[in-house]
Amino acid sequence: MSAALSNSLEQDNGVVEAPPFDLLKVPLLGRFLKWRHSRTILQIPLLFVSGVMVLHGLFGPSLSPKNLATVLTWVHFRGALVLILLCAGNFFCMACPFMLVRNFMRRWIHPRLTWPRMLRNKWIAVALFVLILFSYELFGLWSSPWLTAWIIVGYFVAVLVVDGLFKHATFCKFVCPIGQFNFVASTLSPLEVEVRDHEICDECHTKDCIRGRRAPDSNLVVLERGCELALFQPAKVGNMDCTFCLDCVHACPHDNIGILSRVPASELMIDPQRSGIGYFSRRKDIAALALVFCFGALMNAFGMVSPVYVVEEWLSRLLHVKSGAPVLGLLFMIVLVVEPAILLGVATWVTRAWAGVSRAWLPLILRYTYSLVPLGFGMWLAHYGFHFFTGLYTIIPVTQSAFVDLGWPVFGDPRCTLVGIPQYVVEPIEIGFLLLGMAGSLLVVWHLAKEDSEEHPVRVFTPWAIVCLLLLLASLWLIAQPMDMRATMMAG
Amino acid sequence: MKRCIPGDRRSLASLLFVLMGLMALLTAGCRRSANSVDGISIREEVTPLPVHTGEVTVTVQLADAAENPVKEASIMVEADMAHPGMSPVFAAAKETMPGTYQSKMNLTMGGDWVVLLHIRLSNGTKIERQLDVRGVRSN
Repeated sequence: MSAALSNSLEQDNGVVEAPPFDLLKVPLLGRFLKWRHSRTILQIPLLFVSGVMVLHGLFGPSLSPKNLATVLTWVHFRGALVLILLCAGNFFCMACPFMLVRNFMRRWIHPRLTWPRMLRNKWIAVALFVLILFSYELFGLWSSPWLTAWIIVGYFVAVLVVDGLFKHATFCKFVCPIGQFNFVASTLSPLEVEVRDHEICDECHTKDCIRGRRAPDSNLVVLERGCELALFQPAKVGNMDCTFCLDCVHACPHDNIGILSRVPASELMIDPQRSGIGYFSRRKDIAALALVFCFGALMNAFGMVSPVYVVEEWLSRLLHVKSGAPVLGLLFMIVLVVEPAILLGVATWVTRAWAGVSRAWLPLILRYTYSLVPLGFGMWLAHYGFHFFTGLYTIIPVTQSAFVDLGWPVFGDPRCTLVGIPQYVVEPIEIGFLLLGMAGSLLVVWHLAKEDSEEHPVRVFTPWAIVCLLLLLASLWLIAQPMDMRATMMAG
Repeated sequence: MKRCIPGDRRSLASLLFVLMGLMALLTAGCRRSANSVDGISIREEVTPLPVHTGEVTVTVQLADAAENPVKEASIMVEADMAHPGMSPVFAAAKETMPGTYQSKMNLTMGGDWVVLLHIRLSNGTKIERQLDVRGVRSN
């Protein structure tokens, strides 16, 4: 996609752009990534860490801050995930340990079923994403090493069952909620797996990047896999659905696929037909995913501050219920459905009435939903970045403690005073992430507005910019609130 | 190349089911409980109630089986948030009366806290005690 953008820049400015940065051409690193076993090498340590987390979660201390399952999952993994997505790309999917186990299983089990056509969308993944956010709040998952370990185990089981029964990367594309989070966030990443020279693809007849390569004497023997997520490289646009598995890189006989630099969020400013996806503006499921991504970021942070308990207590009195689930369910409904419906509905009405944009209601809403993704990512960065930076060193005493518990104190006594970067240093970084997200959202809105109305782009821009501003203010208010992390709903 | 047949899938599913069942049994047997140790009864209290962020007092009373106060113990109080990655708070408890120990500590944020008592008796016996302080309110 960066090639398409740079071509247009060349035509506009009459200048020749420098070729984009290509990670695969970096000495040593590029060579390593192009090696067909590089993904496995990255997955093995993460599989080992996952195993340690499961064991410590099930058999280690029940106190969350003392357990590797909770510390690594809810402090380090989430923070590192969003930071790597921001600074590079979807490298966590690349190193996914679940896929290592799945690939191992597929040495013996070759699924023959295809995922049902009616399920070839993101609706299941959206539901699972919401379910995880909901369970996180309802059960206080962050406070339970035992539950956290079982979630990891459940994830492995789900991968094995789904990809044991269905062909291709069904779990990644249609089920995995972490993967969907990564796909949406990676639309803002500066790197993309992309064709280097489209002219070479035009002359390619084998299309190995999508078909893969099989042994000449047996069609059943796969020498190199093609893209299991149905992304045909020459027609692929952006990072959506790309796991950075690099199967296409290994399969391409012309060494014509790289990991190229690009303008983050640029794929949200355009709406071409995308290989394996179609048009963003026609995909209600992906737009719903983007909405959950954005408003879920607010809900997830809202669950960690004091006012949430005031709201919950008020709702419980209103509904005459004492159980947490219905109250939390209503809160989720308000934040994930009612609030977006009102904000986007009003913005759409103003866009049509004031700017005279002739698009129908739903396509217009879907089109501008994606412009909120940078702001949503800013909130995830602010929230997860806060826990990551302020708890950065906690892994050290917890690891020391685990070794002491094993009767093998090789790392010495736990240094429990090691915590992380002070909060007063992290808070400006949080605000920076939010402002970065806001700038990204405004930029996307402006590009879409210019395309929708050459005469009145400001009139199209204004209502959506106000939506972004309201969300920014809500986010700033949230991070300014005193933290109040309760593992039980409506406690106290 | 070996093909997957339905029987293989059934076997895999059965194996996974049995493995999960075994793990559930194992972990159910490994849940911990906290009780008094070596006949020493421990009473602990966090005041003032309801607990708000800021300074709180943790009071620990130690008594032996005959209800006599246990003197000259060393108690380190550690308070952790239920959420991982948060800064723990430490304070040493002083013996204010025979068998009664007090420490003041600053709970830095609202939410669920867990207070850990690391107790060492004068005879060298170590006792660990956990006290849940839920729903600490922000000021």
